[in-house]
Amino acid sequence: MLRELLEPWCAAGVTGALRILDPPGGVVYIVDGRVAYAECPVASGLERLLTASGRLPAEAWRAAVNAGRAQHRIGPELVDGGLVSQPELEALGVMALYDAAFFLFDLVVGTQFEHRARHPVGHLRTLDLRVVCQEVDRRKRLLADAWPDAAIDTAAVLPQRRLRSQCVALTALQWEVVANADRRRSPVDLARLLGRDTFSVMLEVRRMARSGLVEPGRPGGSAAAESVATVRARAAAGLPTTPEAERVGRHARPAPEHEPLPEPEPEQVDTSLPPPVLPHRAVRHQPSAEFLVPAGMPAEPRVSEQILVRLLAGLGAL
Amino acid sequence: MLDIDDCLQQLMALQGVHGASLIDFPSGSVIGAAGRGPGSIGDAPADAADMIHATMQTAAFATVGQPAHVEDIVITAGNGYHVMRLLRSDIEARMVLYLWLDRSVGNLVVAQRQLSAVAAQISAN
Repeated sequence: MLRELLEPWCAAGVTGALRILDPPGGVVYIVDGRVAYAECPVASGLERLLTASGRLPAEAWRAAVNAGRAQHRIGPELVDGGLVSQPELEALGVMALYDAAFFLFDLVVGTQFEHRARHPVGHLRTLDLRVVCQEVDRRKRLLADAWPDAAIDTAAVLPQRRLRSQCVALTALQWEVVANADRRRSPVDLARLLGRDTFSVMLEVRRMARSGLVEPGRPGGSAAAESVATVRARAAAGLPTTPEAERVGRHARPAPEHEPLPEPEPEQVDTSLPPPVLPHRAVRHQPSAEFLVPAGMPAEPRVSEQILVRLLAGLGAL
Repeated sequence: MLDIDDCLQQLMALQGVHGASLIDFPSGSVIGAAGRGPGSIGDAPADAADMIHATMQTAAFATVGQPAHVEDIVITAGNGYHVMRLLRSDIEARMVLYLWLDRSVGNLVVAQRQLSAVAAQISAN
């Protein structure tokens, strides 16, 4: 799983980016061995949290990107321009990081580490890998407690037309969900539309479903919902994703091209089983090589390159 | 440039503070923590989030037509005061500052004033 792949890099205290090569795609940025930011196309990133929510005009974000991307200074551009405060930017960065980690950390995927790669936003709050893992687990638990069937996250949200009770109280986020549910949008679509983090919207919808205010409809047909459903199905099966599926899922493409989960070869399953833990400094240079190789890619050159890079990282840290 | 850690340190500098943290309350996620409290004692952030939901959903306190009218929530408990200060709701993250204050050493009113000052810095723009 991705969280186990991150362990040796964080333990070595390196700075760089772990790029996810298989769908849904994404990047986890590490600064001095701490998780600084993560992004994933199906989660709400910093840009969407700031612009889709109406917090900032899209032009203001684009201007900051143009001015600051090359020097990794998008954040300072926004803060210096008086558009957001540094604490607010950091808080949204943490929310975006948790949202992406929620989708990425339990996936079995091929990855590639880029040394010294940094995200263009600039200084954000960095978190211990263990803290991020705990938060991901807490979120999974909360969702399962609120409503056990994960299919609701990608199904159309149908508010009840008539209530049995006399009166109902909603949180602000629940109101946003109900006011924008058009009987086609799924929680994942609503999060994109509203510029909210995907997890919070999924949680509020599950809570409302539990109290009988909304019910899950047909699976949402949107590309985003399909993509989440596909990734979930793969994660549940614990399978490596195939390069073929990568082309389908990497970018949100129109729904008709979506294909059901390809049946894995039995031997792919075997090679994908990760070593359960990478416990000690002494052994962290030898993670199982086949784990790093996405299924279907020529193994040899990638393996040696990965091991070399990792050895260098370990030695550098010592 | 003040960041979240600086804000939390300003709260920790008060007399009798056991812990301070910044919590996103729709999700109950801890964004930052200092001292003891949420992050070190189990489910306190989630509990803080539940407390806020419960208060906001109580019509008499939430005051229909005046959203975000609740400024802070103080719980007087055997182990201290628990103060939850809501941040202005027009900044995008729905956040709350949480402070755990000792009952014998801490000064509740001073803590509330400092919470307001820190909240203003976070939603400065």
